[in-house]
Amino acid sequence: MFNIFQYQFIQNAFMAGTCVAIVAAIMGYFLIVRGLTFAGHALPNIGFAGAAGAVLLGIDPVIGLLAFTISAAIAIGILGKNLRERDIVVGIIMTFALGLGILFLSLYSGYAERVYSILFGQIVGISQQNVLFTAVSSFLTLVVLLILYRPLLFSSFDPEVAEARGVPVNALGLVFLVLVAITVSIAVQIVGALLFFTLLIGPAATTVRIVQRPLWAILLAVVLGICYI
Amino acid sequence: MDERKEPVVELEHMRIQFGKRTILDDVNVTINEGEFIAILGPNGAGKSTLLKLLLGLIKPSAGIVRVLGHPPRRGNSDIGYAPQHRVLEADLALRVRDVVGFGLDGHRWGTGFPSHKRRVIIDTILEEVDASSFAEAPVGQLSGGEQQRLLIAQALLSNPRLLLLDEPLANLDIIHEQEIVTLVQKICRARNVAVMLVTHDVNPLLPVVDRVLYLARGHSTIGTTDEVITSVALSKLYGSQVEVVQALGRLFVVGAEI
Repeated sequence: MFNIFQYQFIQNAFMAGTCVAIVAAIMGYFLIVRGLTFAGHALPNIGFAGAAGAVLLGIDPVIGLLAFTISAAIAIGILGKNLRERDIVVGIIMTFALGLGILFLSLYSGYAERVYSILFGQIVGISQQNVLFTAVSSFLTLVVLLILYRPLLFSSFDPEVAEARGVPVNALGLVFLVLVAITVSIAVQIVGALLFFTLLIGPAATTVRIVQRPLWAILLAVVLGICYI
Repeated sequence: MDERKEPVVELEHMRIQFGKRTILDDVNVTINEGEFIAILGPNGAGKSTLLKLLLGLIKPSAGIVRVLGHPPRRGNSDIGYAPQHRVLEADLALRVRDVVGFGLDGHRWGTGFPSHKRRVIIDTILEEVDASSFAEAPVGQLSGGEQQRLLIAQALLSNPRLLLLDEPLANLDIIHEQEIVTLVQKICRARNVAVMLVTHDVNPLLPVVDRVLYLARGHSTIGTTDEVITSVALSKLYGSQVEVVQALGRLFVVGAEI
């Protein structure tokens, strides 16, 4: 069975997938404790619209992905201060973006293969260059996340006290959402916009039911995420 | 610093305004080290707002505010703060120990590493508030009284000189109310920390508070319970006829319109 690993494209798929799974699982934990799971569902779909727009303009879909997901993340961060508002904001932005995506697609006369690959991912069509890019960007995201770890956790669970203790709660929330947006943009090219939500939320949602310690929950989520891939 | 009784909080002609609405006006209060102050007043009188002012989260519209001799600033570790009863969700994936730990180093960057020293600090504080028995329990499973203990423990971790407690007695039955009051008094005396405790009912605090700060209709009055919670003083504060009735050794404020 392990013979399949002798193929380069399988190796690439596993490596890129593993990188994405690790970062996604950690992000997912914070998304859940911050009540942002809906945003985790919306951002990949918004990214799809961005990619469609980029294809229409004849530029690299990644640019469209990043542009759309990051601006959506900032909009969600600024407009959705409390939980109830946030779900409305996310919903509106997502439907708006999906509408744009369909519009872009219908305006584009050719067969939008690259756009569909954003929807479903291209896990077996990853080049070594892609793997390297994914690994480096995952690593950088991870480093930023580790630096933010304690204040982010504090402000997720207890924003009032965190703010009083001098934690820049709003700015942190915004930075976190932008990080999610970047992760989404990298990941959907590999696993696809439709499936990424599972990888993002699934592992962490399972572990918060099982363990109480944040660190263990995150580590377990990472392990599960890698298994999913 | 050379004075033995350094004021912890000084407010002079302090006014807070949100837009055109004046929340508090011309508040003059000095609170000393180790004093136990109860903050009373109807809903919307500005009790929580006053705490936020001291934390540096909002700015006064006029007047002078000093905390330990300086203007209020965010992240002041000389202040411990436990906000109004927070809903710690039942499925919150955190242990008591983790929540208390936020008070120690939650504001620092990086991941932090578990260490023996950190564990000992948290264990000591949990013992101080009598919470050792549920240190490993998930916070969502705690009772109201237990949650208050852990929030107080969290607020104490920076060894503050001013402790701000916003409605710690809300939603507690009489027995647990009494437990929390006894605990706060013990902390106040043992640590010589000034306590400002927001409450709706002064009765459980009557035997322990040094002074009460009563806020109503934007105005304030401060003094001992005998001075402040009287028909004359409160009628003046509310600007309408208010009667303080004593029954069964408890005080009741009657006729106050909010």
